[in-house]
Amino acid sequence: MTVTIALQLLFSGLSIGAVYALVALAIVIPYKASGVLNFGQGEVVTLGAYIALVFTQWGVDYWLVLLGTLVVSALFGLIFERVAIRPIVRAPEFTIVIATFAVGLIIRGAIRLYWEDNEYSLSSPFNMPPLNLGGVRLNANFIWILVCTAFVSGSSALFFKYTRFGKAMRAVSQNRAAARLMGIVVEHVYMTAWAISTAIGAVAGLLMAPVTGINPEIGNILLKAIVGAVIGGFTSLSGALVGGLVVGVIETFSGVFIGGTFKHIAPFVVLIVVLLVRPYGFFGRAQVRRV
Amino acid sequence: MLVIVLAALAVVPFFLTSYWVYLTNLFLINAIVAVGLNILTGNAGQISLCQSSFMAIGAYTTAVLSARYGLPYWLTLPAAMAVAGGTGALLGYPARRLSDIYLALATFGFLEIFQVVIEEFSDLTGGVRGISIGRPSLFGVTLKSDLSLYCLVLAAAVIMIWVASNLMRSRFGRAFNAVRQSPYAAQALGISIGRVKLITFALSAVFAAVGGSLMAVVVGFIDPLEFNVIASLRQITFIVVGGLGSIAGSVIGALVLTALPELLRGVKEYVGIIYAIILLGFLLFMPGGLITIWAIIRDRIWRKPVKIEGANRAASLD
Amino acid sequence: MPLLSIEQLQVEFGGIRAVNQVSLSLEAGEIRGLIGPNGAGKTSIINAITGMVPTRAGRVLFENRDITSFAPHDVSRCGVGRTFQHAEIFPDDSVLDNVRIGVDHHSQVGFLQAAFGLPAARKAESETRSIAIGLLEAFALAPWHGQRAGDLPFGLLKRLDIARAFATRPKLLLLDEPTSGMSEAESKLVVDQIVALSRQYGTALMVIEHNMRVIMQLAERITVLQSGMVLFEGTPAEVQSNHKVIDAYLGEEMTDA
Repeated sequence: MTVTIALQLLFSGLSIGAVYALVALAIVIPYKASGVLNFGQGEVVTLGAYIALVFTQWGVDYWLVLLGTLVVSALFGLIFERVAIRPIVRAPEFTIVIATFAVGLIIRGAIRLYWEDNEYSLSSPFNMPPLNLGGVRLNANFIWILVCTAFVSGSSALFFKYTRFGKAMRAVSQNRAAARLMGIVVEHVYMTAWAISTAIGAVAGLLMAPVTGINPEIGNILLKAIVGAVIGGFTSLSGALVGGLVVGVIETFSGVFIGGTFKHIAPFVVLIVVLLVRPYGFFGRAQVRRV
Repeated sequence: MLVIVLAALAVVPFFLTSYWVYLTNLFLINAIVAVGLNILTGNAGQISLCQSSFMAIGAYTTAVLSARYGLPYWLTLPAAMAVAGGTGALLGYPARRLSDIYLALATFGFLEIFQVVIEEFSDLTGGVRGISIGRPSLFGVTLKSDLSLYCLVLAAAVIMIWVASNLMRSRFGRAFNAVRQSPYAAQALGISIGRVKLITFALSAVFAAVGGSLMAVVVGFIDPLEFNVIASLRQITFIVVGGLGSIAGSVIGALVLTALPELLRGVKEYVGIIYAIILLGFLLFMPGGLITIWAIIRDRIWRKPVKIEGANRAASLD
Repeated sequence: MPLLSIEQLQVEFGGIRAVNQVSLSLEAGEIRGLIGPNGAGKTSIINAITGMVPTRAGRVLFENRDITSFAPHDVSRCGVGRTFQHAEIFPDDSVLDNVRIGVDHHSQVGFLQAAFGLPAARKAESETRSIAIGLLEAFALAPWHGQRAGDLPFGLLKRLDIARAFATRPKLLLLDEPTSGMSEAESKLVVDQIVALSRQYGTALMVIEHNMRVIMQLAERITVLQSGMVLFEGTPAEVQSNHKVIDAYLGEEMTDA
């Protein structure tokens, strides 16, 4: 294991992890705001990839595709929140978990009905030969993924910390009733949180597409992203970022050291271990229950 | 009521074609699995996404023991139950500190790991290609005919459902429901939440294993695709549609949803999405399941509900 | 040897000391009142005894056994029962089943006996049913025995909570505001029953109450709490005439009662 190979693996791991991190972010934001864990988020990612596909097939330039995907998915997020999420916000956990799962399956089924199981590809301006930096081959698509992830994380952090809306969202996540009494329209906070979440998820799909191809199964990424979110302590945004990256790196390195198929279960083993040892992750805070 | 149902089921193989007998077998298998899952989720309130993994354990244990070692069914079935029950307990024990979302995630993780394990140990399990299983043999007799196989499945279903019914009407069933409704009160009354979780996980696993084992011999072939997360969701759909926490509900749900793909045979591609829509619909609009319709009918016809007028019924004490 | 002995108990929630160096002891069969303004730490003491909140410092001894770090179900198994401020009944179960769960506390029916419907199990079932109905009748809840508990008004739920707790035949029963939400007639019924059952079962009682009339009549001794500390302890007469207590607490209450 030379330094070059280690760095190469690290780069791949971080790039895959970056996608996980984006999806993890997309999961944690609405969970913080409305307490709903969206088990259908994987399908939002898939949807993003297909939306990008449609735009591309219309002959639109990549940068407009990106913009278009963002807009369409944000709109979808607004509708999704109003139609599917609002009715179940107060429901028992079981209902929320299974309902979001069901919505995901409906989306996946609909995609499969129209596009079937065909594999599509997305052209991107980054489909160029990899850059070579001191022996380490840097895939341009991967670099773009890392850049986007950094940008999204950074702007989310700034948004939540400094804008009025971000503060409103934090208030709602801590105490819904109190936030209402302060004049915050909780429904607007929900809508924004979900719109942001679907937009991020869709972008993750668009970024993934040139690397993994487009098919109805790419939403299976969800569970690995959730592992990242759990490691990061479910309600922490920075934790989601770090958690996602960690999962990507663990997956890549274990693939080399342990073997092909175990590469796939490594994240789940980590998940179960973390859940048993520190369910609130490494960044979150334990919740004290009182009678 | 019950007698009518049993009588109807008993005469099925004499009146219906081989295909419909096969379907009834599937319905009975689904009912067994659904009843087990309902005890865990509907009664004890634990979210589990890995019920199909326990089914897989049952199916593969039976398949491997009979195909490789030639063991008869009266050995492979209990073995399947034991392995699954042990795994269920192994999962239920550390899971006692997890609830809701975290439990859902842990069981989801377990399911994914198990899928990979099935595929990895392919010389044992046949991997992605699956395993074929011959007809079961009991005490030297091979059940070659449809009728004999059906009798086995029906007998198993009746026994399992009878056991479930006994348990739910005992102090154990009450303790399960207590844990779901108020963990604090349950503990204050001496009920150990950890023990209940362990028991119900193991119990639901045993039921799933019986279903899986029977499925292996009824269908004659199993592969890992039968036991993925979609399969788990399908089982959850049985109990949501039928009625959470109700044994009759589990059976009704299994009946309706086993029949459904048959009715939709013309539009096979739509089955998956229709299942999901039905699940979502019931969650949003009839969370109590179909059994609530039955309860409403029963109350109207047979019983008059006790009325409470105003908050201080204690007027009768003055 | 006292039945219950609390030594220098300390309970904290995120930096706030809900219970601060509280010591008290209770004899078998005693009826103790626990009063104090809201936030004095009364429910926290009950939660600490029953193991539902962690103890920062101090010990809880029951029958000379250190139960400080026992899990709630183990505390219950030792013979300590409790009721809840908000009743915490099982809403989907019938009124009868709620109490039956309490009776199940000392059931010896094994898992296999229950699973296969063996005669021992079925006999136990009808016995628990009888005992449960007896308790319902004691608290005048029998008319609603088949009713879904969640549909009942609050006062009835409080009665149900108490009946259910007594069903476990505890050696010590911690009652959290047993008469809240009740009319005068209801209160009288409930208090009479509590005293009767306590004598019948030999149960010691520790009762949190805001209704001064009730507690002064019911309790043999009263511990007064304020801001997590014991302010005074004595007979009802002593408590009512103690100027510290009157200043801190009773001064306002006396005008209401």
